[in-house]
Amino acid sequence: MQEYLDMIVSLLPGLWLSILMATVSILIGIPLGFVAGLILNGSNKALRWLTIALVEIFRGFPALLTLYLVYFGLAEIITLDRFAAVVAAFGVTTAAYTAEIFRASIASVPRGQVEAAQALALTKKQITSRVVLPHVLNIAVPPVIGIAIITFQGTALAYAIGAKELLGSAYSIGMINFRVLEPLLVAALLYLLFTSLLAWMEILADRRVARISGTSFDGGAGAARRRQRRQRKTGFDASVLNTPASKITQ
Amino acid sequence: MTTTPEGTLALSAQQIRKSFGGKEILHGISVDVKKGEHIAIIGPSGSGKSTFIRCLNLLETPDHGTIDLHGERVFDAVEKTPAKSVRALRKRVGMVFQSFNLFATHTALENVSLAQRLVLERSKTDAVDRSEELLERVGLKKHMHKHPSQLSGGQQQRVAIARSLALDPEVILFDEPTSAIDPEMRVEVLRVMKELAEGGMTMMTVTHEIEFAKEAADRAMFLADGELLEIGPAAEILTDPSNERIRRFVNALSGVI
Ligand SMILES: Nc1ncnc2c1ncn2[C@@H]1O[C@H](COP(=O)(O)OP(=O)(O)OP(=O)(O)O)[C@@H](O)[C@H]1O
Ligand SMILES: [Mg+2]
Repeated sequence: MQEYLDMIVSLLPGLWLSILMATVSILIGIPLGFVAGLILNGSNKALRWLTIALVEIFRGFPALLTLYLVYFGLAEIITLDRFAAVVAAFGVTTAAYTAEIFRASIASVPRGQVEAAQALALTKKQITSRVVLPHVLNIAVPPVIGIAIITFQGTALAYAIGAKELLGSAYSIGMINFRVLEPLLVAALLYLLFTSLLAWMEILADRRVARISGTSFDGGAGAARRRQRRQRKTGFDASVLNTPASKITQ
Repeated sequence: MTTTPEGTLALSAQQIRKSFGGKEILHGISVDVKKGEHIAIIGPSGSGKSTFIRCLNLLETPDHGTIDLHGERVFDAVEKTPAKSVRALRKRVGMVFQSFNLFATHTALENVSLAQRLVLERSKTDAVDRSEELLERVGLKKHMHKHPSQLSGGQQQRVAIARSLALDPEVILFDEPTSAIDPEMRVEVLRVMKELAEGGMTMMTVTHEIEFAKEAADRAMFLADGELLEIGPAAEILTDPSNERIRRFVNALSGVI
């Protein structure tokens, strides 16, 4: 028991580094992804094509390849420490993945709500910050947390350039004691704990979206599918049970 | 200030023309709305009813024509209207949409407060007080902390009316306010509108509810193919239309053949 506690304690700096790498990558990636989402909805054709190309490139490359390119490639030009290379590589990867989420959420702002805001004499800026942005954040948060989970797991790749993040530290502890499996299992447990925490946040955020907009990111398709499945099972649409008897016409 | 023997004109729109993609939809429509008057706008689908009232708060910019509010020129198509003047006009002319268009991420209370805070620059407590008062008036105070998705269509539309009233507009435009609502829920919205009209609010309502228009509107105007075919006392025009085209339309809507 004590042995495992010791192991966890010695893995904590690694966990901390993983969390730090993921957090900084996400903090770089989300604003970039948001800007990309704005450009993809914008009218500037050249910028749009450039953005599409960048998004495709960084979604197409395996994250490890991007990391190698940044770490070894940029090393030819500037000196880059490991941490900077990792957050630069995973930052742009995260941006590429979130760009599509932001593009879709910005595109889904109902035209009618913007018109209502115009009719209430709000300025363009006020409409963006008080109507468009809340809508975008509301629906983008759950899938962006999903991307954050992938980014967090992805930090394990930093081991390949010798970073002492969680996986790297587990492996080196294993090499010192000539017992690799135990530290790896402990590291697995820590990864799992942390991603479960994020997944739980994703579920909460998703529920919030469902509660507020009566729909989720897929425009309610998921909920509709679930309802249909229930209906197939029970043979009738359970939602009629929520209708007062006096309102049922057939 | 322009006055007529009948009273002050709240809104005067002259020779409003509007084209989309080179095709003229409105061919020069004029109307004078007296203070406290309620005008029903009727006409077949595609006749330009929505386009016309959207021109009146500049959600569409007319290609030609002028708009006066209480005798003051607020729009003239020959000049470019700066964004600031557009907002000044919209502050005075409210709009209620067919599909409610409540802000989905805001509660009923926040929907009603938002423009008071941002446009009238009211303090939070003042805006909340006024919003509660307005929601009370449309019978929804107990639902004020709900989001639009938790409200029925009729309730959402009443929140939208309260939201529009929050800027104390001089005129409110309604575009088919009950068309997207279940028939049994319409009456509560119509009741609120009738109360408003009786309370002296100047209103223009695009509607297919002939009975409501007869009951709650002072005058009715009939649009067909982007032209004003007739305007006159609502009860007269809608009960026994002398114009054959209007008669057919009204009969079809009332289910009479
Ligand atoms: N933004 C637009 N771009 C192009 N055409 C438009 C636009 N808005 C309206 N139109 C056209 O203008 C005409 C009048 O439309 P409008 O919506 O004003 O009619 P309406 O009388 O309100 O009809 P309904 O009873 O169906 O609401 C229609 O032929 C419509 O297709
Ligand atoms: Mg219309």
